[in-house]
Amino acid sequence: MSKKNNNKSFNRRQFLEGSFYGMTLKLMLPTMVSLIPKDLRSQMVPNAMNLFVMYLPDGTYPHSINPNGTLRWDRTMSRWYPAVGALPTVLPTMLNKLNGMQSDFSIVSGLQNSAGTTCAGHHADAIARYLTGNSFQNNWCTDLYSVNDSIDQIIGKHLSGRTDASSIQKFILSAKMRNVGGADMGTGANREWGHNLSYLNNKPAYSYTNPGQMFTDTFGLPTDPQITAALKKRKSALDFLLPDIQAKRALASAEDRIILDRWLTNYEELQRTLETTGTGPVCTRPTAPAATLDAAANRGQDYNAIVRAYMDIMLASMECGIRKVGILQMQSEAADINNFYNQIVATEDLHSEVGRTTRITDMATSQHIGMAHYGSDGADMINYLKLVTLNNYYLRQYRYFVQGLKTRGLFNNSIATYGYGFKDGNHTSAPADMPFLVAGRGGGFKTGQHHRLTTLRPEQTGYNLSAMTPLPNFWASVLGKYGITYSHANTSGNTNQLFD
Amino acid sequence: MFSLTLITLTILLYNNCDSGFNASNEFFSGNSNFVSQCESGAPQAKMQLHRLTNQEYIYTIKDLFNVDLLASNFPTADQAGGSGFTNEYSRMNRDTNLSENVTNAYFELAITTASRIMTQNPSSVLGLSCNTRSDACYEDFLRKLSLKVFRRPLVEPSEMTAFKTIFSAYTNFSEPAEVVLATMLASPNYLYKSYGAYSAPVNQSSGRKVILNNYELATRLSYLLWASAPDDVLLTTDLSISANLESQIKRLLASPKARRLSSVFADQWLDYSKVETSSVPTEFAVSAAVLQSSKRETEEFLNYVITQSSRALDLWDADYSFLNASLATHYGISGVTGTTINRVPISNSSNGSNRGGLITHASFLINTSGGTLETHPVSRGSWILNNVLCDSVPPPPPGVTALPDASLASSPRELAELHASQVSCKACHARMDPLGFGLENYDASGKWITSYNLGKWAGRGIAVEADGILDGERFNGPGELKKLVAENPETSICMSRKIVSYALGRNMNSKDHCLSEDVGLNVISKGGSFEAALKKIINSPSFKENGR
Repeated sequence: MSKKNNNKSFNRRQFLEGSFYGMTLKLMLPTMVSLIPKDLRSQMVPNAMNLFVMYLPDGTYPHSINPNGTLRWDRTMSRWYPAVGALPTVLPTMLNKLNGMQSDFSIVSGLQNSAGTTCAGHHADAIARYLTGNSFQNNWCTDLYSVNDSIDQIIGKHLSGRTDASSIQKFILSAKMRNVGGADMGTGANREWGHNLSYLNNKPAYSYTNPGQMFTDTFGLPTDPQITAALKKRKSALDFLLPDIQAKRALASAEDRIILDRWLTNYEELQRTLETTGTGPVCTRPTAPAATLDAAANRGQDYNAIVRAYMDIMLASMECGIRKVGILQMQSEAADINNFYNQIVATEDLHSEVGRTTRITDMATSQHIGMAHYGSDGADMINYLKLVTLNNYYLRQYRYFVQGLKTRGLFNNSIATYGYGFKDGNHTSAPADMPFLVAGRGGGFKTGQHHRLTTLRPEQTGYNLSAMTPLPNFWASVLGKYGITYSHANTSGNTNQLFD
Repeated sequence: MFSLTLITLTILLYNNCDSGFNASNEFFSGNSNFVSQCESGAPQAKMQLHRLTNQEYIYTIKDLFNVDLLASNFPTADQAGGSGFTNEYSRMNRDTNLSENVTNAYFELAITTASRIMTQNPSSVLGLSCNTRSDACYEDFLRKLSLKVFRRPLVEPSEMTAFKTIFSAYTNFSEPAEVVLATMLASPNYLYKSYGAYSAPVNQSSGRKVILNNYELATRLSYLLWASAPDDVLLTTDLSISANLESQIKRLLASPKARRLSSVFADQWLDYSKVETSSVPTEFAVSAAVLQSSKRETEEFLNYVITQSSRALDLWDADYSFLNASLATHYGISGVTGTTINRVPISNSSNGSNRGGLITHASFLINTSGGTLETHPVSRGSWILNNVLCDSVPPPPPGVTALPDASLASSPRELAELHASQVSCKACHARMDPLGFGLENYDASGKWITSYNLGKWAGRGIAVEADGILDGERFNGPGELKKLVAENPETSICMSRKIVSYALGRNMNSKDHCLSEDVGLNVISKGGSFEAALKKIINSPSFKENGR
């Protein structure tokens, strides 16, 4: 009689997606929706695919481990990329934090993202181009600011049906980890422009800088007794209704039992949804992040907890169908001093992997220039260890998010990307053959593969941009899944072959 | 092959329109199965649980708690079934496949409605009983609320015990009272009218049936006459005593709530209220006030015919109407002043306007003119066939979309006859057009005319020809037409059918047809009142019993 479907997230979406006889759909606010503050309900877009973009600054640091256990720096991406085709059982050293989830993601290599203009600098160009596909012209060049709208904003426009920033913003959760304790590269407006992923109407788009504000905007005020009261009211009602309908059913004719069965089944499903509120992967308001995190974010502290808070809010938001796009910038590009480094080092254990007996502990004053541009092979093993530590940390965060998509039943309707603005952060800073991972089967994406989008081998790529596939081509395929046609001067097609 | 197909189609169409008025005639003229169905032992129709229409839900909440809901609050729009009425239970049979979306929406509607009631009119709930946290108050409250919302006493001890559990989960009285109210509104006990659904059936030679108990009969009566829940008086009256039942019918019809028979039942049948927002060509200089007044005229007229007139057939042929100054002026009737709509006596000779009866109302005349300058005798005739005589007219055959070129004819009558002369059109138009011709003295705005002065026939001095034929009897002008319509037994049977369909909330089965023939021929046709027709229906087994 009852539905035996324990996937609550799926059921929830099912009833959110129902067509309400035209309008009438708007009237049909399902119970759980009513637990979301009223002013947020209109933002719900349950049908759309989820998109998560995790951006890592400063390029990666190709490396491997020698047979004797020592680290080896690699000048090319060959150590990042396994053979083309199905991912191997054991991933390369630089990706080993993703071992065991080979079927959940694919490596997409051979992408380039050069717009041919570098007057803003490698770092600024890398981040500005990442989601826009072109460089902005800033006052280093012409004093004109001009950049495409970033793809998150384009999706926001599409979902909202509006073009104003505040409407678009309601469909996007974009956050960037603050760099506190040191200055970003550049000065004035250039600094702002050089450290944003999202752009709208030739301006940097809004990004959250603390999780409390993101949570409030997404799920309402952190403590809302009305939510609790509303849940209690509904549960009490169903506690009466279910046995009562059962009792009446026993008295009714066969024809009427069919009607009562429908109510019973549907109300039972509703009750299961309500009963698991707050304890399982259902769409309910998640727990608000600790208020102390906001202050910590302003001070540049508790980096790991803040990253996880952003990710948890984004996952819950996607699950609830409130906001479908999450952008997470893990750090500013080329910060002079990245004072979060020291906070994450304690969570990594690379030292033991390479035979060291003590952790790396002196990252507090580390910064990109000093750490990354260390010169020739093995010139500075300590700096190199620091960079590898960052690599591993980032991958673990990505793994956390992808696992979240799976446990919440979002995996098949989501795309989660992991990428850098350029490849080797040590020497070349080239926007070519960048490390790029894609997880999730949203839009029919083919996971478990190394898809190589160039005929060049990794050691051949260098600045040979024309032989590689523009990153905007990949975004064109992603946007196509939203029903958006995407092309501009720096696209040359799409990457639809990566999707079923 | 083509010719053969065409001939076959033509014959079929001809037969469709030439089978004589009214399928019900078949039952009395040689259909032996039907005759046997009319005998007293025939089984009653089975009725499933009968969901409240949105309109009924709205009226119920309004009457019980004085809180207004909107049609847009509901998950689905009301839709008419084959009977033409939204309360038809065969449409409700779709509830066997109710989606979660719909049930969840009803659940949420119950939650929000209870909340609104407690905010806007808390005394309508809390005033039912004492409000202290005691068993005595809980029980008194629950019994009284159940009688209102479930339209029956609480089932004790099961429902009582379960509801009291809700009170125990809270620390005050009003919060759980709201939850109890929401729970009741979300329950099938409220959402569905039960006509013996939970009673043990009685076995009879003609099949199993249940006899409605007092509460169910009160509910059926109330939703028929008020489109709403029964009040306490009705629920506590012993309706098995016929004098009590009769006095309650009178009481309910005398209530302002009985106006809903006009605004719900009659409007779904006659579709008059849309005139208020209809588009009339500016050449007619019809003001919004006239359009509003024309709706009000029909509404007041229907209310009078249904609840007060001693003759139901006044609906088609009355010597009075409901007018104010602006509408009277539009009709060319003098002596009516003020903006208030009042009952005005009209003789057929007064100002030569031949008003009185629904087919002379501007609402009908405008609604059947499609916003054009010319009259539409075909539309008007078709409407009369369908709604007055309950005779169905098939749609035009494929390829026939418009009248012939007007230049081929010298008058609208000639044009229509030219069109009707086509083989494929002849059979139907021969029945529709003559009825519409009888109303040619009313232009597309409902004004009285004697010659065509607007549209394609204007300026040619063409006099109106208003002679026609109904069931072989010739007439001239609307005065004679409406008299013939009222005298036609099919008119009475048709009216009876509409009332029976609405009263029973179903597309009629053969036994129901027997009832409508009986009421039509023995009450309405003999000059009986609408109230008398209702009483006969309410006292019938079709109303008081349910097949199982």
